[in-house]
Amino acid sequence: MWRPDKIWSCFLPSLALVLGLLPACAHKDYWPPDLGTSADLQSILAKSLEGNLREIPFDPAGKRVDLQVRAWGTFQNALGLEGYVRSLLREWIVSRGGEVGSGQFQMAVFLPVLGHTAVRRDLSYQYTPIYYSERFRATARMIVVIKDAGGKTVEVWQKGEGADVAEIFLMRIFGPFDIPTKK
Amino acid sequence: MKRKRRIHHFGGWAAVIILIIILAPACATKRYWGPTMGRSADSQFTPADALEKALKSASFDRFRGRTVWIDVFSLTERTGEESAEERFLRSWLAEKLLSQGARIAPAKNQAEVILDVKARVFGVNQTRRDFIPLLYMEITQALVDLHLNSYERESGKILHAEDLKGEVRYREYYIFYMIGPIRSVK
Repeated sequence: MWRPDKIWSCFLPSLALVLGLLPACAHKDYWPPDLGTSADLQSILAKSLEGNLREIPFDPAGKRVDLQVRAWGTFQNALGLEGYVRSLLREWIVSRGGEVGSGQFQMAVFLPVLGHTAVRRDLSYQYTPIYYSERFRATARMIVVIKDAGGKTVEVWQKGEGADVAEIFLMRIFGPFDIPTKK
Repeated sequence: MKRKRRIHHFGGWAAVIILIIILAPACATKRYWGPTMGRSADSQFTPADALEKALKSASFDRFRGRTVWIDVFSLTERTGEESAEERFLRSWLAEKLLSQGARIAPAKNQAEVILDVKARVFGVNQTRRDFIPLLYMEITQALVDLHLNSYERESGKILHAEDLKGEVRYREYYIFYMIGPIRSVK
């Protein structure tokens, strides 16, 4: 037969045990899965590179150009970026009637800057989010050195072309709305 | 005498309790970053679907019977020469070309045509929306923007150029931050 004093004497240690265990926490530690390089970032980098190309003051029509690209920058290694820019320039040269290969001219393209910055803006009133925006800005600086077959520098040209993408959200639910940005 | 012993006894307990109180908030933590979970399933299937959409309108019939080498360039991260995205794109395009009667060259110098693919975009954007406490939503937007140029290897001339674009939006809703996910793919 259970006596009240016996129940009491069991109840108190059990309660203490339960209370002691309540704040315990088992947690398997993982980083959330990643998403790779964002589409926005790739898009603004591609746009800024294409923007730079438009103004190279060299007419490759009828010329054979030896193309060299050197870059470092935003990615873990520069091989991909160099390949991408080489492909862009190859298209640029061939579409204007030139040829790519060793010969008359040497075109050395340097990309000392190809990167981006991101700015986040938040406006809230007493913990109620009203406005939130994200702005990506890519910066690409391109230096093109053109030499003739004798190694004499014919042209040095540089350009820093950026590209912007910005989005705003209202009340953290409506949006994204594009913000007009400088082209 | 008895009272003195009691005070002494109480003093001992007080010291123990004070020690426990001081030690209670102490914390030893071995510092580790947890193991990574790799690339998320959402960010794998959405670009793959977007690529399929982008290639739906493309015809590689012009390469029928010709030997093609595929070069893929992108602005994605890599540790080696070729990124995971580029390798995937190259293999996917090779399958499309083979299925439409083209041959894939074993080496670049054995190809008749070089298909130069610039992936301006091959990736995802992730957006979270909260309408506290009613609704929480995660949107994975995959974008594929390819610029294809085919060159004749011998002459280096451009044979054909085209742009292919595809987009897929995958949404997951949670109602009251509890019920869900309710999924939709567009």
